[in-house]
Amino acid sequence: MGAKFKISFDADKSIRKIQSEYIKKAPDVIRDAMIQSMERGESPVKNGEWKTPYSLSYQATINGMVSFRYIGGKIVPLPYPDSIFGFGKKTTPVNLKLSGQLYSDLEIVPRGNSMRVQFKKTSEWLANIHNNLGVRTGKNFMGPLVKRRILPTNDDEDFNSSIQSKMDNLLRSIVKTFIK
Amino acid sequence: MAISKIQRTEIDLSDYLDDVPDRARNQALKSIGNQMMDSIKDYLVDGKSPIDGKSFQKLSKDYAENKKGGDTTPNLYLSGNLWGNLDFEIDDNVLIIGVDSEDEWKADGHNKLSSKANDMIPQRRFIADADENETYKDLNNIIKDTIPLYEDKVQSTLEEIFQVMEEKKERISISDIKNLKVVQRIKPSSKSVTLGGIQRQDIEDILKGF
Repeated sequence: MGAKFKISFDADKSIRKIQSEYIKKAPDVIRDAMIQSMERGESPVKNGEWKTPYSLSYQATINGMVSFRYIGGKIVPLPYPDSIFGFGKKTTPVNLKLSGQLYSDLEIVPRGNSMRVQFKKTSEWLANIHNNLGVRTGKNFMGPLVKRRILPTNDDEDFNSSIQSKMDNLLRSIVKTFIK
Repeated sequence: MAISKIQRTEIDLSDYLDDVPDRARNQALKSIGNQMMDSIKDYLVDGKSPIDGKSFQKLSKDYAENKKGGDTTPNLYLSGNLWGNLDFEIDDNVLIIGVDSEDEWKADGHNKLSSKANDMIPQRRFIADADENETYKDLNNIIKDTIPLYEDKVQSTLEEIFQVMEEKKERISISDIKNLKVVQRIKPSSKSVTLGGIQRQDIEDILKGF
């Protein structure tokens, strides 16, 4: 150990206090960091699949310029105001934010000494599609499946470095408060 | 990835690191680098310059309709490559922010071409030119907030805690994946992250009660 000076404290007691503070504060920090990552078009998962931009037609749909209806066996583009979406939405980067429901349904729940990242029932299916199943892209939805990884659910995955850094700094800020 | 020699900002943080022990410096700089990436992209998402915080000139309607589904936000994002190639490096106590060499020309176009020289491409500066005493709007606050978290007292206390945990040999399973795989017990930090040269266990380990 390379500690330069000895700090007098009851380590067990300290760790319990730090643990308690961390569990209290971390959910907001992690949730905000995950949403911040998604808003700037990055997977919250380290090296997670994400970056493929929306197709031009879908960007136009998001922005209310055009919508698509299934008519007579064909997908037909229809101009606004038939579009179900409104003008003025950002179409890049890909942020999975259309109604905002996915974001608002992301929750981090303390469970004993750990936390669980999850989506409320109303968005669980959508998160599952983006995270695990993939969205079919391309003309007439015949293109490749595109996943956008939201949660590091595989054993070899972790949060991206930005989120990890925020979690690390939270731990440090709690320790700093404690030793003051 | 190699950051362009031209489109880069070199920020020497030596003066801020006096109270940060050598063993924590790299991680402190990485933290500042990560936060700077967040900050730069957050400004760009809103079509603003991370240098002065001012809004960029909006995209023309024609361009927006042809290329971006009508969205006129000038966020320098089309294919996503430029953003993907925006990164930072650490060289000793110097933080280097810039874009990968392969996207140097794109960055150069946005940074240097001015509307005076070419009406078609308005200047949108997002890589600060240190030679011109330019810096990033959020840089000072990020440094001010981050450096104290890596000072010797904090670092040493963390190391003490990790040592106690090592001695306790308390470990728990890494993850608890649920059926839909959208629910996961958090693994808060990578095993590979080190603090002060000590191989760090999951924060869960650190925080686990006895």
